[in-house]
Amino acid sequence: MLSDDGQLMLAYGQGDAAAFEQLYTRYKQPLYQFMINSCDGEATAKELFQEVWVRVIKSRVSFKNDSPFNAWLFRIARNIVIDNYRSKGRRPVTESIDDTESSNVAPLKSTSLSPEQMAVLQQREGVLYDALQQLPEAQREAILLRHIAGLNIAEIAELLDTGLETIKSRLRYATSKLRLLLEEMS
Amino acid sequence: MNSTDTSDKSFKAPDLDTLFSDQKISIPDALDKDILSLSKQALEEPSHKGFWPNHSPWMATAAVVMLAVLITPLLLRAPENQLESNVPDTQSSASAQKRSVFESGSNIGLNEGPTVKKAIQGNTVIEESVHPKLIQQSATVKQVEDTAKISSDSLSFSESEHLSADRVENYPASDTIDIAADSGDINTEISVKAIAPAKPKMLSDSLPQPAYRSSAEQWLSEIKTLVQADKIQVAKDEYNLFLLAYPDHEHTPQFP
Repeated sequence: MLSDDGQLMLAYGQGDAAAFEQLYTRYKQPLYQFMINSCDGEATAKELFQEVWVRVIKSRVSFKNDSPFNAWLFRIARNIVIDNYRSKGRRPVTESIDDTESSNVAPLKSTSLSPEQMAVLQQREGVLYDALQQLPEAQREAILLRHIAGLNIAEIAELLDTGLETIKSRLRYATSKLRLLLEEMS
Repeated sequence: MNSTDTSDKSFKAPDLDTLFSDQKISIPDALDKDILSLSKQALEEPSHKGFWPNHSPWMATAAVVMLAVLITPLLLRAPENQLESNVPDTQSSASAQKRSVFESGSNIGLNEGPTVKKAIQGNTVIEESVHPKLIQQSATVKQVEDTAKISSDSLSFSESEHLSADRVENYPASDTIDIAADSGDINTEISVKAIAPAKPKMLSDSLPQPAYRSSAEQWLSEIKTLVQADKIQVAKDEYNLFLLAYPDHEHTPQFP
């Protein structure tokens, strides 16, 4: 059994259906979660989730194992989300103005949530989704790529074609605001 | 320590990680099945289906033309090269085939195959056209064989189309061969005895031929004389040579 995601994708490109199943099992949950939190509705998230995997399937022959598979997968996902925004006349994330300037919430503090707050939040279904929807799109995108896709700062910067400092800034603001929102909800 | 590592460490948020991991999101089973089904269906399609539709039919046509241009000259040259390279092999294999046939002394029919037939026809032609010479040669060689005991290992025959009658003469057999040849309406059975392997033509040309071989009656008379002189083996050899010259002669001398 291949452990490397890229090797699995290459194996699938050579006709190994089990390799794709292994990849799908590994990434279906974070990808679906990314779609749910990025889209305005579960139906759209399902549709776009399937579209991502269709593109992965179509790219099986042309795939080059020269970058992390998860970064490649979420780049596809992000592009599909942006296309979906454009198709609905919404402003895509890439065209949003700098969120650090537009954000009304300054990154005053970034202390972790208390255990009591965490216990309450974990019992309330949908609170995280609601809090995320209140973030600016660019910040939400950065924090989703960080905490769901598991990408590091450099990978996020490369994926979003943005500078490292900008990504750091977005993450700082996003984390601070999200904690503040969650504290309010708890 | 680079900035990326530093930033990665400084952006750890275990509380948020916990909330994200606890987010209750389940993928519908139908969606799983659809995607996995699509992934398997894609593998059942031709591997280059995604490529050719974008470029066909021009790419396909160009590929066929290129292949034709590249391969046709090779194919046209191939038979010539193959023929040239096979000539020695054909000769050697034919030689081996002929040798085995001649050594076994088996009867060869004209209907045994086109190549054999061709070779035998060549012999038949020789038999008909240079018949006295061949007999003379055989007799001479027989005499030489008795004294010199010439080896028959140098036997070589060719069934190539380039094989000429002269060449056949120069590739003698070592043992007896019975050839059943159907040449037109003439049925002939020839018993060729021991054509010497080396320079038989020169030897036969240099040795005088007995006068009694000029006619069938005198030859048979000479054979009868040899029998009466109790030279039975010599008489049998003479009779074998006689049969080469007159294969359809009905007279058979009585040997004790």
